[in-house]
Amino acid sequence: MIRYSRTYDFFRVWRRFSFNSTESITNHTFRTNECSPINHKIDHNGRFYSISESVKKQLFAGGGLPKEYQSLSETLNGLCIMVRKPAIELIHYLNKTNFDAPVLRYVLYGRTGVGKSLSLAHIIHYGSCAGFVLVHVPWVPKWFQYVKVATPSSVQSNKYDQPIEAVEWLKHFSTQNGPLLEKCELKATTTYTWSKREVTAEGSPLSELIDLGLNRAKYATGCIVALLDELKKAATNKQCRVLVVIDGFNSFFSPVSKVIREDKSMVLASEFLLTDAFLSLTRNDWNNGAVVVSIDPLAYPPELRESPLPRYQLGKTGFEHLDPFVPIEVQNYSDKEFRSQIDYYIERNWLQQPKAHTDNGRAELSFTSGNHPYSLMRLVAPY
Amino acid sequence: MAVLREVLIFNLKCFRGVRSYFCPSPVFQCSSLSLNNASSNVRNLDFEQSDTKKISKAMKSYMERAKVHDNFIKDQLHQYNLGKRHLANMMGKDPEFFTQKDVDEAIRYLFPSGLFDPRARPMMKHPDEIYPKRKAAEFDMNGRPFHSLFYTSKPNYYNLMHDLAVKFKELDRHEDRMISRGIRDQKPSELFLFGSDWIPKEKIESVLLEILTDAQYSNLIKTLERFTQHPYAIKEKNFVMQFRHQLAAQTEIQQVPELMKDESNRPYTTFSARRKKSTATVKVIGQGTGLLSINGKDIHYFERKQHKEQVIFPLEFCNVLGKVDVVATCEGNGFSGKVGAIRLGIAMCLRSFVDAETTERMRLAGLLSFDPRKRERKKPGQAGARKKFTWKKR
Repeated sequence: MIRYSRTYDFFRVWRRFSFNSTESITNHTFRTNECSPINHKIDHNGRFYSISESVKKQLFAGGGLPKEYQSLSETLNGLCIMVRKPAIELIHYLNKTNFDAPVLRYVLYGRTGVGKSLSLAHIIHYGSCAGFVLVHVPWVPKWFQYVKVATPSSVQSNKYDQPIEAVEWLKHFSTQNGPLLEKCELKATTTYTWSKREVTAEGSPLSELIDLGLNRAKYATGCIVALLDELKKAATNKQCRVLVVIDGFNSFFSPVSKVIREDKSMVLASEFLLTDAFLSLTRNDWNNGAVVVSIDPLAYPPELRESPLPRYQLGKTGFEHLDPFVPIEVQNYSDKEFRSQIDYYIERNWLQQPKAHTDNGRAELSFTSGNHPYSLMRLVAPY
Repeated sequence: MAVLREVLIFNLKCFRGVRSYFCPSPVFQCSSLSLNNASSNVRNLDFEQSDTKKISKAMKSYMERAKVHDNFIKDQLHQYNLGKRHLANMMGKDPEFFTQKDVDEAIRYLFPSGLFDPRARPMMKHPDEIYPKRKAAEFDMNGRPFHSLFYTSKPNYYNLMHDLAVKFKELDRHEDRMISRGIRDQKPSELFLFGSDWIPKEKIESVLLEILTDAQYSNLIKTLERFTQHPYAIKEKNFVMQFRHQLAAQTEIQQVPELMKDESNRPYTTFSARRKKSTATVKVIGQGTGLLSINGKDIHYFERKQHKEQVIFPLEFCNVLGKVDVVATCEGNGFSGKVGAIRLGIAMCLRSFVDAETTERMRLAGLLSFDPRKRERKKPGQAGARKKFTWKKR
C-alpha cells in the first residue's frame, strides 16, 4: 500500500526540498503551451495550461476557483487548469454560436467534485479572452445560505435585499470587466432615481451606476438589477457580448433557506431581489450572449442530494425556467486525464512517494479515488 | 527373580530398538518402559518373590507408590463398570452391550447442563481417560537406571534429540552416497510440510511424559526445522510427520472453485462472505478493466479511506488491480462489517484466478480467514460490555 506523509510540518519541509529535486519529467505530455482558451480543441484534452498571475487576479479575485484548488495552486507555484472535455465542448459551441439568435443556455451537471466549477473557470477565462462582458456568480448558495444582512428592498417592497453580498458582487464584476466596460462605453438608457439626491441620469456611463452601488450599500441590490437590465439591452443592441456564468444555479430554486424571519418562517431564494435579476438574465428573451450555469448537489439542501441530474436538482420550476437548454455532463477522469493529473502532481513534487510513479501505484490511486478528481486531490494531499 | 530378570532384559532391549513416538508399533506396545503408560509387568511383581536384601530404597518406595496407584485405578475401574451397569438399567438397555457412547448419551439425558464449556459438564469416562498417565520405573531393583540418559532427568526428551541427530547423520551419509554416484543438486523437499504445523509443547509433553522448558521445546522445533531442510528429508517423512498436525482450515482453502464463464465468455467466480452481521455476495470477473460496483455505486459507497483500502487490499495483493471487475452487493450492519465481508469475498474469489503459491501467501496474510469477532453483549449491572457504572462510595 502506498502511504502518505501526514506530518504537520510537511509544507515547510516540502518547500525546502521540492524545487531542488533533480528528478523531473522530461516528457511534458501533460502540459500544453496553448494558453488561450479560444484555441483549445479536442487535441488538448487532458492537458494542463497555465493561467498567469495577473489574469488570475483579474478574473478570480472575487471567487470562481474552489477554495482548496486555489490554495493548492498557490502551493504548487502557479495556477494550472486541465483542459477537459466539457470545457472543450462548450468552447466549441461558443465559437460556433450564431449570436443573432436568442441566447443558448448550457447546463453543466455532475456529481460533487467532478470539476464543474473548474470547467466554469476555464469558460470564464475563455469569455475574458474572447471579449465577452462577464456576468459571473462564483457560488450562488453563498447568497442564500450564509446571508449576513437581509433588509426589505428599497426598490420592491415585497422583496429582500442583501446589501453586503450585492456590494461584493459589484466589486467582483467591476474587477472582472473594468477595462472592457470603459472600452464599450456602455450608457444608461433610463434615469434611475434612488432617492431625492441620488439619481443616475440617462446617458451616464454604467461605471457610474456601479460606483454608486459600491458606495451606497443600501442601493447596491437595485444597482445590480439596473446593471443587468442595461447589459441585456446593450447586448441586444450589439454594443457588447455578454457571457453569463453562474455556479450553483439550482440554489435559486432551493425549497429550503437558512434565512429566517422573526416569525420563524423561511425567506426563500425567490423572495430576494437578486434572484429576480439573475433569473431574468437566464431567460432566452435576449441575444448576443450566452448563459452557462452549473448545477451542483452541494447547492441544494443536504436532504435533496440523491441525484445530480438537472430535473431533480432544479425542481419543476427551475427546469421549466431553463428549458430548452444544452445539458453537458461533467464526468470523472478518463484514463488519459488521470495519468496527466498524476504526472502533474509528480512534476510539481506534490506526489513524492516513489511507488506513485509506477503503474501499480497509479492503478491503486485510480482505484482508491475511483478516478474522482476531488477524491484524488484529497488522497494525495498530505493533510 | 527369573521373571524379573527376563522383564528387565527385555526392557533394556527395547530402548535400543525402533521407536515410534506416536503410533505405537507392536514392539512399542510390548515395551514396559515405553514412553507411554506405566508398565503392568513391573507392578505385578510380588515383593516376597524378589531378592529383598538387594532391593534399593528407591525401588521399594516406587513399588509402594505403584501399588497404591494401581489399587486406586482398580477401584475406579470397578466403580466405573458398576456405574455403567446402573446407567444401562436406568436407560433400559442391556448392560453387557452398553458402550461409552451410550454412557455419554445417558449422562447428557439424566444430568442436563447448560454450562458452556463441555469439560465443565457432568461426565463419566473410563479412568484411563481421566487420570494422567505415569512413568513406569526407570531403574532396576538395585537402583541402577535403565536408561543411559537417566541422569539428564529428561531421558525421553534427550533420547529424541539423540535420535534426530543420528537420523541427520544417516541422511548426510545418504547424500554423500548420492553425490559419489553423481546425483547432485537435490532440492530440499519441503512440500510435504504444506498445510501442517509443528505440534504444540503440551502435546509433546504428554507424549514424552516429561515437562519441557520453553527453551527445550524451541530447541526441539529448531532441530526439526533444520532436519526438514535436508535435501533428503523426504526419506524420513513418516518420522517428521509425527511431530506435525494438519491445519484444519487448510483443506477448505485448498478446494478452490472452478472458474465459470458468463454470456460474453468471461471467466468469473462468486462467493458469499460474512463479517459481524453483514453479508456480501461478491462476483469477480476476469478480463476486466478494474470496474467496481458496490450496491450499484462505485468505490465512493464507502466514505472512509480505511474502508476503501480494505476493498483494494486483496486486489493489490494478487496484483490484479485493473485486470478484474468486481460486482458486490452487501447488506446488514455498518460499513466496517460490509467492507470486511466484501474483502473476504473478493479474496476468496481471487483464489480461482491466481496460482497455489499466491493463494498460500494470501492465507498467510490472513486474507482467506473468516473474522469471527462480533459485538459483545451488554452485561446486566454494567454500563456496557465491559464498561462499569461510575463508582460512588454512597
